[in-house]
Formats: sequence, structure tokens, C-alpha cells
Amino acid sequence: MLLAAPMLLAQQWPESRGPKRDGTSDARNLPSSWSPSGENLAWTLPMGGRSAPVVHGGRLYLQTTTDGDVSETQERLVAVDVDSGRVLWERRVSQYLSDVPQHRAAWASPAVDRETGNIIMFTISAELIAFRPDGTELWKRSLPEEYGAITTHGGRTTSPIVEGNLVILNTLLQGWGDLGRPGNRYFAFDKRTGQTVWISAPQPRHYDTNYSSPIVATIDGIQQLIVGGTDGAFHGLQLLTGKPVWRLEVSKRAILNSPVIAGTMLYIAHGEENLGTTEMGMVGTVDLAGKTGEIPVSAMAWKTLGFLPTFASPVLHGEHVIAMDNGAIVGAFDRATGAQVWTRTLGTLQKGSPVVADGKLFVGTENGKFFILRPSATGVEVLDEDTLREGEPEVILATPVVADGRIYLTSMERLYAIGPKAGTARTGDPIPMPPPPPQPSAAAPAHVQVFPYEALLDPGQRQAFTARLFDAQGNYIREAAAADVQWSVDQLAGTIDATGQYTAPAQGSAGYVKATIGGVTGQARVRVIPALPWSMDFTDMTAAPMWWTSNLKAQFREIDGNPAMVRPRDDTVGRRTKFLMGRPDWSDYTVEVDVRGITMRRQRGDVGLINQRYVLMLFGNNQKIELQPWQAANEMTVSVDKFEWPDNTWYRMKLRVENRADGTTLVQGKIWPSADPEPAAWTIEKIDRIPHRAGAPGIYGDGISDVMFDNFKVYRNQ
Amino acid sequence: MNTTTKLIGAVAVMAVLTTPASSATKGVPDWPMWGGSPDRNMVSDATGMPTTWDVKTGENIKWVAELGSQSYGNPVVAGGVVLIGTNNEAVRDPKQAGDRGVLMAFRESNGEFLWQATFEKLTSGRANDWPFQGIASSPLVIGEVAYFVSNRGKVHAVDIRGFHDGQNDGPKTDEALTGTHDPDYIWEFDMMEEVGAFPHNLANSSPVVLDNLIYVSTGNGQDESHVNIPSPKAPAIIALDRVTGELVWEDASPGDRILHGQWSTPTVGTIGGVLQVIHGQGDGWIRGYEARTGEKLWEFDTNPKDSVWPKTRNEIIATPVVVGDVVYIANGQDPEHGEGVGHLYAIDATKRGDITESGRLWHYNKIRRSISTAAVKDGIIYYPDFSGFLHALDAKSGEVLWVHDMFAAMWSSAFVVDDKVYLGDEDGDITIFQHGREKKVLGEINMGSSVYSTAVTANGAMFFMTRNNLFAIQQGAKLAR
Repeated sequence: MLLAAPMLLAQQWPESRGPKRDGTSDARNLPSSWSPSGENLAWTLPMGGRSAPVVHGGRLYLQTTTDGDVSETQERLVAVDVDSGRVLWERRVSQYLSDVPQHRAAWASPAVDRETGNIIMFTISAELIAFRPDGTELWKRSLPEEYGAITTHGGRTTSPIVEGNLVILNTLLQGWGDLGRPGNRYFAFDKRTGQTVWISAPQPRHYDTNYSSPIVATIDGIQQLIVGGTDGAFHGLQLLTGKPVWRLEVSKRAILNSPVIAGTMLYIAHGEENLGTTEMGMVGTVDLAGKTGEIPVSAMAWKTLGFLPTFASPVLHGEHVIAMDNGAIVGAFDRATGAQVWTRTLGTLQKGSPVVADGKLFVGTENGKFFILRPSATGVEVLDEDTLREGEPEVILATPVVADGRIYLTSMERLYAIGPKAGTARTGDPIPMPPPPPQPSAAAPAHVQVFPYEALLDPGQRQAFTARLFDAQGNYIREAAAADVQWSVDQLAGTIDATGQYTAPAQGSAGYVKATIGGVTGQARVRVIPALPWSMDFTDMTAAPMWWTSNLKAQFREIDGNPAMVRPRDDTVGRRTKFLMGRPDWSDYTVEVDVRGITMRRQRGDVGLINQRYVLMLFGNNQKIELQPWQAANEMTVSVDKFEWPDNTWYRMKLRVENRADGTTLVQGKIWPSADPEPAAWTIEKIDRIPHRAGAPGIYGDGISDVMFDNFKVYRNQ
Repeated sequence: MNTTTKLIGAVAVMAVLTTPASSATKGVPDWPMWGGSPDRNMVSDATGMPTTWDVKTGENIKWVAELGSQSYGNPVVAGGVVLIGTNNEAVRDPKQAGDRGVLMAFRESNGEFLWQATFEKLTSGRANDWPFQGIASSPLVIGEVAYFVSNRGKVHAVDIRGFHDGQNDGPKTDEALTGTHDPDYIWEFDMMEEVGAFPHNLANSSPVVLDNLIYVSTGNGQDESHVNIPSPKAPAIIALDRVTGELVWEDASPGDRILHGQWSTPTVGTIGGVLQVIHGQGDGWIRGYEARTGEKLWEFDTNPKDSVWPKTRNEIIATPVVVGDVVYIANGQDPEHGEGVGHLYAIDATKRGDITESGRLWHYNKIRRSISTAAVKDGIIYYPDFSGFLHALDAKSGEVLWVHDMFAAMWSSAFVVDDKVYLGDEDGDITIFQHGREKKVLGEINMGSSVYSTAVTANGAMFFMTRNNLFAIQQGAKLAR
């Protein structure tokens, strides 16, 4: 069993960074040459994408988009039998409330939980879904609706990891309460239930979205995640609590790639601005032993500037760190000194990471070239070079994957299984034993983790909370006995009893449940969503309810003597704001609101109503209406190209969504001058064949100029 | 010299600027704008430029000046001053720290830093003002006045001497900073406030001139959703009175059909006896306007009708070049979008209306996406593309003469001086070719960091900008390193 372990590991690539999260595999006897036309090609499939597949238990899982008509693009998770290359199943997921367009969808790789074989998928809409190996859905979480996750045009989406019982990832968000400040947050979810375990905010700022998948290491007895932040820094976070351990700020842009660790030596790379010099890019290393808090750049063992690996993660090979410059130049750097030992130009653009296995280096360049290289102490030998289609090459953005004695190469169009045919290299379908639970710590409690960390409740609903105790190093001690915990609520209506049983109030509320034990306090977040119907005329309101996402972006003042909600002109990054305010599992309801706007510097803000993930948009500048199932996917949108909406005039918008028995959804919108009676006919309509079957209600406001809202209603379909 | 003299006095200069082809002096004394002259043809009349230099030993290097970490605004040289757009990573004034757009002025003779104008980033973020891109506008210098577009979407007129001449030129005289290293603003025009422009990612236009008018692209484009043009009524191009800074005419032809942003910069030429402003716009069309009135004369679609954004339909980032009655332009995309198919055209701009068919002299579709600008000399057109290929074509027929693979992305343009062609790439290599109908590589010189800029010449020197340094290169010079 022990002897078999490395071989079993060599058959897997369960996460984006590989079985050891370092871009390497212990696989042997990998091919030195192949050709797209058949040499050493086990099979190929006409599906590809931006992200690499993962391989586990004789299955390959590819997260990609659906083929064909872009008006029906979805993300899909495809399970492939690695022996035959046959598709076993696929699960399609519609995207929503996202600025990411179709051609950048399916950015992340899935992750397989090695204990259960369950597959975790994180979409460009920031929806997190767990599937069982048979393709049935285990649980899902809608981060936009629950946490105000923001997904931007660039598409960057983190590939999650599964470590112990936790699913870990990060996202940009502007949520409610202590998540109200826009920024990047790290999340840990319970892999069995999807419940939130912790949320961590170690970053003082946010520059850009990123997709640095975390690695896990134990340094000075602290089991920690190590991840590149959107604040230009690498971070160490306690694995089980999310508490910051250390931070190494090296850049003025987000870190997009993942670091590599060997012992206590952390190898990092980035391709953007450094601190205090005009030279961009860095390959460097820091010894993390004995380091906590802010680590200055001067404490690094070495750093070599001028090589620009923004996208590709570095990989270790012998005495070298191998990195890839954005211009598709592969370079080797001495692990002890940082000296650049050799370089070789492989193309012009690079996104995917290099992978090392069997003494070989595997690299696909954006120009559609795939290389099998043999790196040495003095240089690099090209064993094989193939262009995926002459003329207009297939673009390669994904990292190659090594498993089953093969290399799985993903272009934007195809998947290639390079290596022996079925059965020649594999020895079974192993699912290794789960890692043993860490020994409970005997140290004093230093951190209280209230679980679940977030609860979304109906009025009157009850929720049991527990208090988990951790020591200063983030080691688990025990679950606190109920009698030892002092429970309380903060800014939250409702009551909590001595056993941690919380009972929600009859109305809407949001705030915190707190647990204090031995002078240490932890908290969880609770939102209670009022029951339908809602009717809000904003009288006497001075602030948006805390149970709205982006609640800080709304103002309340009188317009023509009537109280109204105003999304004021906002020349900041958060100009386009979604206020989401209900449960992601609601369906078959109607929303209505009055809207008006004014021209400022030739510009008029746009307004929208959100219902079950559909948006009815009224455009101020363009004087038109759109009904959007997925904002960025123009081809799904239906529109009324001319619709007059004069300055300083109230119009009423109404959006109704109905799930129909045939599996489609009927979406109907209506807009008319508020002074007029409601017209009988709908203004705009769509029957959606790739429907959103549930989602939270909300309001959208684009503050390019002042836009105003009044008389907001949400009610069950009549 | 008072401000009025500065602004309207340079009549003699104007004659040169508007009739470049016949003067045979372009790039000999000065290089006062992007492309050296309003026709934007990347050809210099200078001679005697070195074909070897070494940034490490200092051989044939006259001086080097430190810029920020990223520089995209090509240098211009006029009146003994070199002006260049960059970012603020080489902070020259600790009181003006943080990410900013910066216009730097250096003394041409020795590279001494003279003054800088810095601009804080817009609070609206990358949708309008991408981090660390600095100022990507290449200034236009007329007499003693430089015109450029800042990262804040404003057109600025500044005194090229700054306050070194001991005067605060106006009408704008209320500058908060009036030290020797600070800028002397003459006027400014805020395109975001005045005409509602919503520049996508960065306003970068390099102004061009005809008599008393200057022309710039507003950069109007999509918002961060990339599906919405938030300001469809804002113009794509404006003409300003260069003395007063007042708006003279504007045109918003692309409307809400802008594919992405608008980063192409306008060109002026006399075509068929008509003074025209020519502008590649965000809907992938190139348009010609009567220069004084803004009357639209013609428009040409650079994309095949069956092309699809963003896979095969392109925007225009390159600058049009006018030679005789012909306009040369290639289309392409934001470098962030990677590589793809491109199209290069020779257009007969004497035609009127939609001249997509009638004005197409030739179409070369073997080029990849390109953001580079043409160099045309002796009937040969040199056109680099973003996939790393330099294409040399017969300018009259469009027939390919030769192609060279640089093995690195090209943002810059080929530059013809004397009988040589100089071209820099993202890997920091400058390749020197023999100008001619057959390919002959004379040499390759590494500059130490990416070359996004195009060479310029002035007063016997050649200037090359890397991402973070400006080099003055001159035969026989030796910089102590």
C-alpha cells in the first residue's frame, strides 16, 4: 500500500495545480513525442477551453462551455472515461448577473475531493456547486446573491481547492455588514454541506481580480494556506480559521498565479510593477521559517527582476525554478542565488503554466504550440514541438495535465490525451484514504469559530449554532460545551438561547450571532429575509436595510416632495450597483418599481429590476429596453430598441418570471409612465430554454448620473 | 515671447507640418508629433543613424533617461526639448506620489530632466483609466506649445519650457504648483465633462494639427460591462481651436456601435486637393472629414461583413497613414485580446460616401491583428503585426515582398530612416533591416526591456524608448556606464 501510493498519486491530477499543488507529477515513462494526427495520441475530443481538466479515479472532469449557438451558452462540467475517451455525463449550468462574456466563461478548473470523489465547480458567475461522482448535485451556493460577489469582464475566476473538510476559494465582492467594503475575500465552505466555515479579509486593498489557487503547507507548526492576493501580496492564512499569519507585499497589481513551496522556502513569481523600482516582474524566494506579520521584500532570500511571469505559475526542477515570461520565454533560475541560468523563446504570448514530470517540461503557448522539453543544468532541449493546426492555430491558455501515464492537453477547441491507449499505464481506480484528522490541540483557546458562519433565514426560522475552539496556531481544540458559551446577538433582531439556538424575528433583519468563551469572542453572520409580499415607498428611510447587498450605495431623500431612493452620480469603480435583497431559492414572483433619471454631462444612468436572475433594463442614454438573462451575453438579450424615457419623469417597471411545466421559464417585462394606468400588454418577453429557475429580487442602478427609485414591490405571481 | 505669440506665431512651422512630403526635412531638425508630420508616415529624412549600439557599454549612446515602469507615449522632440508620456513609478516629486499619468520633459542635448506634468488616476478606475498605463498620448508641439491628452480624459496645452522661461502663460494661470519642475498649463479641455466622453480604459489620443485647429480622438467607448456604450452621444473625434481650447466641431458617427474602445489617433492630409482629417474609429470603420468644417466625406469598413466581434471582427488601434491620395490602415485588437486575423488596406480617399467597395485599392489579409502604423517609402509599405511578423508589401499593388518573424509581439511601428528599417518588439529586441524589396537583416540589438515605441530622429540623434528608459542614440557617442 505504501509502495503503491506514489504510483496512485501519479495517476491523479485532482486540482488545477496538480496532486502536490506544485505543477509536478511523479508519473514516469511519459511520451517524448506525439502528433495531433495520431502518434502517441490515445484519444481526442472536440471540446476544449480556458481551464485545464482534473483527473481522478479514472475520470477526467473538464469545466468548459457548451458548443454551438452563443445565445444558449452555458458552463458545463463534463465527465470523461479516461480509458475510452467517452463522455460519461455532463451537467450544464446557466450563468447570471455577470459581466463575464461567453468566450471567457468556464475560467476555473474544478477540484475533486479525494476522499469522496465529489467534484467542486466554481463558475464565472461565482456560483459554487458540488456534484457527486455520478453527476447528481450535492449542494450549491450563489455567491452573488448571498455575498454580493462581483464578476468582471476579464473573467478571472479562482480554481477552488479541497483540503480536509474545506473547499477554499476567493472572490471580489461587495456584500452586506462587515462585507460591505468592496474587496477580495477568502472563503472556506464545508465540503459536505456547502455551509460557510470562515470568511477572511487579510487584504488592506484590492487592485485587480485574480485567480491564484492556494497551496497548503505547515510552517513553524502552523498549517496554512499560501495564496497570491489581489493586493500585490502573498498571504499565509491559518487553514482552519482563515486568520492571517503573514503577508509579503511584492507588487502594485494583483498576483494572478500560485507560488510553490519546498520545505519552508516559498518560490514566487509575478510580472507586474515591483515596489520602489521601474523594473517590472519578479522571480524570487523567501524562507518563511520564523516569519509572521508583514514580511518586507528585503527579507527575501533573493529576487530577480525583469522577467515577467504574470500568468504562469513557477515550477521547481532540480536546482532550478522554472518560470514563463508573458512573452512565452521559458527561463530557469538558480534556486540558491536567483541567477538566470538559461532562457528559450517558445512563442509570443503565454498564459498556461509549465508542468514538470518524468524529467520533462510540458508547455503550451497561446500561439498554439505544444512543447515537450528536457530541461538540464545548462539549457533546455526541445524533444518535441507541435502546432495545433497550421494556419490559424488552436489557442492554448490552459496548463497541461499529467495523469494516467499521459499528458492531457487542452486547447480552446480540443482535448488531447497524449500517451498510451487504455489499460497500458493505469493500475486501477484508486481513491486514497482521507488524511487523518489532526490531533486535537491541548493549548488554550485563542479563536472561536461560530458555525455556520453565515445563515440566511426566513422569519421565525430557527438555526442552531455551535462554537468551535482553536488555539493561537489555528489548531482545532474542541467544540465548546453549550454551558461554557455565552451567546448573544448584535444588530440582529430575534433571540438566541443558552444552547446556541437562534430564533429569527417576524420581520427582516441582519446582524451577528456572537459566542464568547473564556474572554474570546467569535461571530457568525445572519440575514433574515422578510416574507413576501414586500411594499416599500421609502418613507422615513435614511439608509438601506442591512440585508441588502451593496446597502451602502443607496441614499434616501425627497424628490418632488416624496421620499425616494437615490443612486447618486458616482464617479467611482462601484458606479454600476446591484442591490440584491432576497433568497436565491425564490421563484415565481413579480417585482415592480418607479424609476426616473436626469441628464448630467450628456449622460443618463440606466436602471434595472432583478427577478430570478433576469434583469429588465431601462437605458437612459440609449433610450431602449433590454431583458437580460446574462448581462454580458448580448446574444441572449431581447430588446426594444426605441423606448422614450424623458428626463425627470417617473416610469414604472414590472418584471414577472414564471417557471413553466415544460422546463422553460417565461419572463415578462413592462414599462410605462407612472402617471398613466398600467397597460394590459407586456412590453418585452422571453421564453428561456436554458432558464434560471430561482433567484433573489433586486434593483440595479448605474450612477453615471443620478437615478431614483420609488414604490418597490415584490409579490408572489398572481 | 508672450502666450499669444507662442500660440499663433509659428506660421512658418505650420507650412512644414502640412506639406511634409515635399520638404525632405522631416526628422532632421525636429520630430514634433507622432509620426513626425500630420500624414503620420513613419519615415524620416534624417541620415547617418547608427546601426550598432550597446546599452550595456554605452557605445553610440548619447544619454539615457529613466522613465516610469511602463511607457506608451512615443517621444517627440521640438525646441530642444524631448517630451514623453509615462507613468509615475520613477517618482520625481515625493509630494506627487502614487499611480499617475506623467508627461516628462527632458533637455534634448543631454537628457536633463526639465519638468513634468502628473495626473492622478480617475476615481472611476480601470473602466476609464487603467492602472500604471501612464500617459499614452504622444504630444504635438507647435512653436513653444505642446498639446497632449492626459489619462484624465483632458486635452492640455502646455508651455514646452514649463516655468523655466520665468513666465506663467495663460489663459490658465492659477496652477497650484509653479516650481521649476512643474508644468505651465495654457489651457485644458475636459472631454469627459464637456462632450460626455467615456474613455474606455485610457484616453490616449495623439493630437494632430491643421492651421489653427487640433484634432483628437475622445477615446469614447464601452463601460466595464463591455456590452454597454454609456455615452453614445459623445463624439469619437473633436476639433479644438488651438489658441483658445474651444470646441470647433465634433462627430459621433460610431454612436452605440463602438465595439470596445477608441485608441486610434487622427491623421491630416491633402487628398484630391481637399484637406482631410482621417480617423480610425471604434466601430471598425475609418472615416475622412473635411478638416475645417468636420463634414464627413467618406467612410470605410475595415471588417468583412461576416466577421464576428471579438473573434474575427476587429477595432482600429493603428494610426492611418496618408501618402498621396492613399490611406493605409490595418485593424487589430487590444493586446489583452491576444492574436487573431487582421486586415490591411490601401484606400483611395478621393471617393465619397461609403467607400468600402469603391475606395478599396487593395486588401491584404495575410496580416494578423495589428496595432502598428505604416511606414511607406519608395513604393514599399512596412507593416508589423501583433503576432510578431513584419510584412513588406508593394504599396501600389499590395503584393507581398517579404515577411520576417520577430518571434515576439509588436506594439511598435517600423521606422524607415535613410536606407534602413528599425523595428522594436516586446522582447526588447530592435531589428535593423535593409530598406528594399528583398529581405536583409542587418542586425539585432537588445534594449534590456520591452520596446513598445517607434523610433524618432531629431538633430542627428535617434530616440528609442523601452518600457522604462529613454535612449538617445547617436553615431560616435559614448555613454559612461
